[in-house]
Amino acid sequence: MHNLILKPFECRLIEALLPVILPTMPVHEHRFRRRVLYHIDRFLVKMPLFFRWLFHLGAWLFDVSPMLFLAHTHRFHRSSLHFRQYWTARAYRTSIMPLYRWFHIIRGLILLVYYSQDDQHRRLRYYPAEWVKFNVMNRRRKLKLVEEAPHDSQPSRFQPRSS
Amino acid sequence: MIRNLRGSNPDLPDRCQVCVIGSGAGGAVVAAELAEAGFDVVVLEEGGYYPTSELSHDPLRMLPRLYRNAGGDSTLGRAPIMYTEGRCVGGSTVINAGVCYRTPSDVLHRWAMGLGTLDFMPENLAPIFEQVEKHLHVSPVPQELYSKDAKYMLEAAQGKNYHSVPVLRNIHACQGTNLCILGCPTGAKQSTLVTYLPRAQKAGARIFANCRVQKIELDGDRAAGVEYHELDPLTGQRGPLRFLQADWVFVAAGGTQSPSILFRSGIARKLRFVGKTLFLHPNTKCVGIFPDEVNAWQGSVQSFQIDEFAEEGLTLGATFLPPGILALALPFYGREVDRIMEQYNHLSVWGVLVEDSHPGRLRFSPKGLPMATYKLTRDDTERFKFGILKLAGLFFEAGAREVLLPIRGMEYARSRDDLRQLERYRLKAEQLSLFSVHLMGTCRMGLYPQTSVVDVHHRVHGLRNVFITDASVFPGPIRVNPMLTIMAMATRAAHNFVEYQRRFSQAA
Ligand SMILES: Cc1cc2nc3c(=O)[nH]c(=O)nc-3n(C[C@H](O)[C@H](O)[C@H](O)COP(=O)(O)OP(=O)(O)OC[C@H]3O[C@@H](n4cnc5c(N)ncnc54)[C@H](O)[C@@H]3O)c2cc1C
Repeated sequence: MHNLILKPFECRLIEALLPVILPTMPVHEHRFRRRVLYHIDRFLVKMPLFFRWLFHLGAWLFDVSPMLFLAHTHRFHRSSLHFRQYWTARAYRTSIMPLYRWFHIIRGLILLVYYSQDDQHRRLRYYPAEWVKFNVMNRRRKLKLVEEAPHDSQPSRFQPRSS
Repeated sequence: MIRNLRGSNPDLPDRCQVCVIGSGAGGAVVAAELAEAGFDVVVLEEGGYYPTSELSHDPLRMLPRLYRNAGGDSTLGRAPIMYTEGRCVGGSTVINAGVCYRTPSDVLHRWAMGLGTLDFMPENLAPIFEQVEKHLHVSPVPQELYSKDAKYMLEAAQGKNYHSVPVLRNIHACQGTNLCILGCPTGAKQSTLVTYLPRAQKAGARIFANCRVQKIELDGDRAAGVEYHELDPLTGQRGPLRFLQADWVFVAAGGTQSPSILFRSGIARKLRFVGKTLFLHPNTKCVGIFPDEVNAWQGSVQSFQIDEFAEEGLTLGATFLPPGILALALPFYGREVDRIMEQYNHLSVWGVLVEDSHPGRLRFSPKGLPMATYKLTRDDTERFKFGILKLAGLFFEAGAREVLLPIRGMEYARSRDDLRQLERYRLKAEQLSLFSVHLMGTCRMGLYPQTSVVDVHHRVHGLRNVFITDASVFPGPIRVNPMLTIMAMATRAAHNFVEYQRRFSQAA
């Protein structure tokens, strides 16, 4: 999580929120969990569209091109760009763009986390852990590998995570 | 041993002959060749070190470890293109599909003419390609590794008389785990992690993981060395700035990072073409739903490619995405995502790659972080439409009952009639959902400093001891997967460098 583009406090926030907004405890009924997921997903898709629409409205009212949020390059700063255009662009870059990005990142994370759970894999009948283990053994047998095999010494790595 | 640094480390190098930045396709090759030629080589790699035994099928574990920004980068512009790059020891070669094609002859002819050197003629590069291919065990994917959906695609292509070729991949005893994009857990994929880097180490090169190069320190027309931070592998936090003195610096940090290093070093102020040309072979994917189970996860990731439309700059092939990644790549939301995901074993993902006709560019924040802007041309949009139509046609030929199209506003094709409707449709670029994994050309090779960044020997114009040997030096797009071309060019650059140094020392 720390390696994402997010700042450390953003990572901590997501880490804290994920278990709340994505109940993965086995006590929950699958159907309930999925319904929660649908609603979160819908919300996260619709909200950025709303913000984008808001920005386009602002851009139209203030007569600036939406692409002007690139105005942070040095040359733009020194050019005779109109004050108002600069600040609208800046507002887009500093507040609307990150929001837009944020919704998408959270949505992507939720879907990624949800469909990467072992119980979801079982529901979809996708068994990568067993498949990998089978193939590692096969390859070792085929190549007659006899030296120290990290895969054999850590069999737990290929077992499904505890659920 | 590759050093995976944890915390402040007194053994960090402060002097070497050759500093190589990045350990991917370009960096690892240069490191191995120069170390074997007797140079004292230090490789600084920003990502962590994950040997084969630590690679697993779990995207949540592997994406943040192996990918830059967990694989979530995107260009700005019309349409936004999601792109991914590797960040680990071995670079993108650890997470790529391992497809190995030589540069097409027409591209090499064009380069040779434009650059005024016969070195790039296909017959002159052939021995280098052979050498690299031998080292990487490049071979066609065996028929028994074809996944069921790949066989369907092949049969459909044969039914339509499309020309197809078996894919050549850098594999040694591949078992068809189909987890290439999360790092091969069996060690069969011959990434630089298991080929060139061990070779470099054997010859005495020192490789340091979790060391991010901030900038190249310049002293007139020479580089004095590089400034770098140690990174904490867990939190990514930077340690204090350190200095590595080097006689020669080879930059191989990849398509977006090499130009950023030049920008941070102040080189981009003199060479205006740094980051100006970004080619990225955009691609898109259609998902077919078959009535029977295809279990696409059992088999090789890419077994063959359809090159019938190569002249139009299009390549078609079957690929695979694990459920977590497929779910976020689908152009749907809410209940619909789950309806599709529930049929996961019936799904097959086929893609089309387009050779871009017009470059995007990189812009840099004041701190030197890259931001890519890219606008898909009308011509490329039409080619995407053509490619999607061909893919969907193949799906129906293979017996799919529904095809999910990567087009906003036209997401489903349930019969050939829907395709006829798409044919008449005026597709806009922003409706497409696009991806890219081949970023190149951002420090292009050329004759003049006004229009390029490096000369034909990979040396940065105006600097005597700084070289770039990665995907960023391509003068243009190459239509096929770039890894083999990068490796061949890096090998050539290393050989030329060694030869030049030998002659120079003899003369002295
Ligand atoms: C998912 C995916 C699939 C692909 N499939 C194929 C395929 O099938 N066939 C093919 O030919 N190509 C494929 N590619 C593309 C191919 O892997 C890349 O084009 C190639 O590896 C690029 O080589 P490179 O040396 O330019 O950069 P990379 O291999 O990306 O290496 C750059 C390295 O430099 C490091 N670095 C960056 N900045 C710094 C810094 N400041 N300090 C220190 N280190 C730094 C990075 O961490 C990275 O490890 C794929 C790519 C991806 C992402």
